Amino acid sequence: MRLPALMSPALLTWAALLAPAVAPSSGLPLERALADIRERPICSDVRFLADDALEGRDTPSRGLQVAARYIAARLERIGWEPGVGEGYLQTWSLEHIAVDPDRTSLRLEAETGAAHTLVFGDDYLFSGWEVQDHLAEGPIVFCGEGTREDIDGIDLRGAFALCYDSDLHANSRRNTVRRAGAVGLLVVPNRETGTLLHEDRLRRLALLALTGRVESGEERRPDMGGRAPLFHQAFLTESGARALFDLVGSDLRPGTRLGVVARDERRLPGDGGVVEVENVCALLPGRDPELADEVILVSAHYDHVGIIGGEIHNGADDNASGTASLLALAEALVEFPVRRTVMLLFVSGEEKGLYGSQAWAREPTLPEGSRAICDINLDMVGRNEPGELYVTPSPAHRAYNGLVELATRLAPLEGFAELGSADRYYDRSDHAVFAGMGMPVVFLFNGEHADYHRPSDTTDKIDCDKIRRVSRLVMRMIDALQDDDLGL
Amino acid sequence: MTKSLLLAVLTPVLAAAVPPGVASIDGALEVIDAARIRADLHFIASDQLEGRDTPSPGLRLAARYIRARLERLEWEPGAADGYFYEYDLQSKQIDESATVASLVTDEDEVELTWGSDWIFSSRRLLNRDVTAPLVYMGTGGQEDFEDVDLEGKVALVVGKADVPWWGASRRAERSGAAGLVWLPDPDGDEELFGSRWEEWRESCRKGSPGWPADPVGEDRFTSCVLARSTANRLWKLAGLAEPPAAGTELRVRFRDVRSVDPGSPRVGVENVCGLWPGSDPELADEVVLVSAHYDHVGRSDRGIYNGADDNGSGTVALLALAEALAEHGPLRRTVMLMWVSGEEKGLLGSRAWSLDPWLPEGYRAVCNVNIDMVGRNAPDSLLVTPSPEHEKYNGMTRLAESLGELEGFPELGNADAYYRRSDHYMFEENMGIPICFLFSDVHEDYHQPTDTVDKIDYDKIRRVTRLVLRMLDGLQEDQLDL
Repeated sequence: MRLPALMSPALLTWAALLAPAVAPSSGLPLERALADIRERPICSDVRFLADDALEGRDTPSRGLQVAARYIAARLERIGWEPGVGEGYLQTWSLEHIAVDPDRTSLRLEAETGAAHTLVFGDDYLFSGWEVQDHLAEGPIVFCGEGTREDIDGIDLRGAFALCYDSDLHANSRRNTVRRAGAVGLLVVPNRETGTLLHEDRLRRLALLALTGRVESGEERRPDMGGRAPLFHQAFLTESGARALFDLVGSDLRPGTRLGVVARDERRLPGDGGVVEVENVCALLPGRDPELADEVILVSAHYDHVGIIGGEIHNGADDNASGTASLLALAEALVEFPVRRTVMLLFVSGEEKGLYGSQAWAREPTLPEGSRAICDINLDMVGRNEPGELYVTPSPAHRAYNGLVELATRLAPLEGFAELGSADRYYDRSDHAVFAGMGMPVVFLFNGEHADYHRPSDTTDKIDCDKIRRVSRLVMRMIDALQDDDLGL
Repeated sequence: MTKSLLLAVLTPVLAAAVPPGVASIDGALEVIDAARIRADLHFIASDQLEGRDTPSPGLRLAARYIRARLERLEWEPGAADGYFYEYDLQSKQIDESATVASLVTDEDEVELTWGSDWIFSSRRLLNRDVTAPLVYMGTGGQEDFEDVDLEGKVALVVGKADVPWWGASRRAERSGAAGLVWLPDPDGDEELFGSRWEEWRESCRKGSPGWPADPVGEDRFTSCVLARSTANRLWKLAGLAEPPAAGTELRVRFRDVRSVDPGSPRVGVENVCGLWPGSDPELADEVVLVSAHYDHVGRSDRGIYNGADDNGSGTVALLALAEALAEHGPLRRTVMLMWVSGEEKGLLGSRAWSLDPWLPEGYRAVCNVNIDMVGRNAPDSLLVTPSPEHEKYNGMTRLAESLGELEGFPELGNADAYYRRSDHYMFEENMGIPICFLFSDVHEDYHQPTDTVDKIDYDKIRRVTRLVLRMLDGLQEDQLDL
């Protein structure tokens, strides 16, 4: 295992001996700053962010916007400068892919003149992964169970195939029908059992179509961006099938044309499903003209996962704790004589795939002429044993750097005798994105627990004193990062 | 006395009355900062809070923002279980099957269908069963009411589109009438309040949050509106070809039965309360109450009513006051800051609290300063009630008047017309304590979607907050001679 040259064994010994001198403490200003980090404000911030009223701060959601504005108000009142031009909010876009239920329907029009409109979610289902803005229309042709034998000889061009659900592999059935030129496939409940085979799963996927999923604007799926319409597959429930069969007789053989036209209209909301989301960004300008263009980035994601299964996931530890820690740091640093600029960055979209930090990385809100030289990222720092704290990249990791060494050396001063390795999580939070920009990063994390990503991750379980000590640790690190030469 | 002479006389008096050793509030005054006030208002008046209707998710978010501040500043919780004083509102839904009016004579009874023959707004939905003779009052002008005995009877008034309704309503109520029935203008084309009928039907059926209905029934003055067709039937029944002279009692009685669906849902709402305990063992159980309503009117199809001035301004003034007192330390008497909800729905939050106050054991409220809309109009313009002309004029107003000049308000205008229009009225009415209402008047954006943060004078809010802090300081004397 190769250690970075700076940390060769000999030097480590020297470093250990010289620790008091090499890790500079600014004395009185540092003591004052540390004293400014208090438990009550931390607890009150966690309580607000993790309140049911914010509904779990999903990306995107109103609760998330409220959280962003809360953080911005706190930063403005403490006296940090806006980090995004005149304001504190950096806006970036997400695609929120969900159907507009008012304009999405499956209409059945019989030649007799009779017609019926099926309601999405009640009468018919399709998957949230098959949401698009498209209308497919065509006569319905009965295709038995959709086997190759059933389809053989049937002209399905421009038609909707109608199949009874069966053990036949769904993809196989779909491909068979599609290759025969059909524009869509309607699956009705199994002839014997009267039910759809995987109804629970289908309903879950249909719910996804209603609640929506987010994708970064940067990762357009080929079927969306290329605008090639998806094949229209829909599953009729018992009520939908009944409505269909009411319009036709039941004498059906493979190849029978039902005399009914299906209009499967799927629509996205008017804005095309683009939503704007926010990162919050504040600056404390460095006081040393030589060093002020070097920016120390401290980050935490402020989003969580919203409401799942009807229950609010409050995300007190994940990551109201990290958010509150940064706010406490903001209070401490505002009076501290920083030589280098410090930027606090609260990102959203982390739970969806590190989208907020990626958006920032694409367009960093750094002052003209400055560059980010490192990142300290906090995610989940308010739970588990008081002395339990993990760090990545550990000495075993290829990205191990001087920041981690600093954290490890200063941690015992705040009650963390030893920092365990969180290398398993190196790619799991926003620091990975900042590392990808070429800067040394350190991630502090208290480990998972039974309430991780559960509705029970609530304020009452949070150890606010622990968050206080983590904030103090970061404050000590920032103090040490005021040295002329950092050699990270 | 001129203001400056008054000040010159009072200042030494006030200064002398405060015992030596009580800390100066100069440091605390400095903490009140316009930029930080603005940051708070940006949150409170943000679109995300959707106009802070009572009740609404936006209102709850605002309450939690306020609570976070009180927690951070280490204010004591001011309610039984924490910082929230909870009270119930009822989303009163009409029981149409049991709501019916009738025109009654000795020979006949004509039933009227609610929503088509007669109607009232959701504010007037209550449990009621009153039958009383109708007295025709013309257009309900001052002269029409002279020498008419309306005690226990129902005033029948012709509504004219361009004449404000509250004049006749107030006159009728003051004269002891049981109620008022509005007739449409015979010369007009439309039904009276025509465009509102649909709105009123909707909101009575859907349920409109308000003070919980008294199941037994309320004996209070209220009104309703008749349709044009109903008016015609009324005149026929009364045997009149045309309306009689004002003051004529008709042979027709009006039976007014209104019914609230007992299943109407209840919703819990919050006032936010914080306590700053007093330091003087003799005086700490006396509580100076400072209030502001933090709700506004929500949204409509015209947009979000951000309520930056109404009453974001008062809300953030109290937040700044909390910070100033946290900086200062205790005053001799206890201070309670109370942010009330439901004001826009009829002073409901202050009504609930003042009818059933929560204070620590043995404590009592001794006075109230209420702040509502203090961020607009001329920088030196500030109104106060009760003015010297008002029967409730008291030492609080004198205090405000004497200290106003120190904060750029050389003269305080008269806000008596608003004496019943905000929460101080409830504290006085239900608790009998001296009150003082600070208000910088309405403006063209009052109750419009245009009451927004960009129009606010933050320095004015800062000065009003400083004024209130000075008043609190002035309320530290041994004896409060209010």
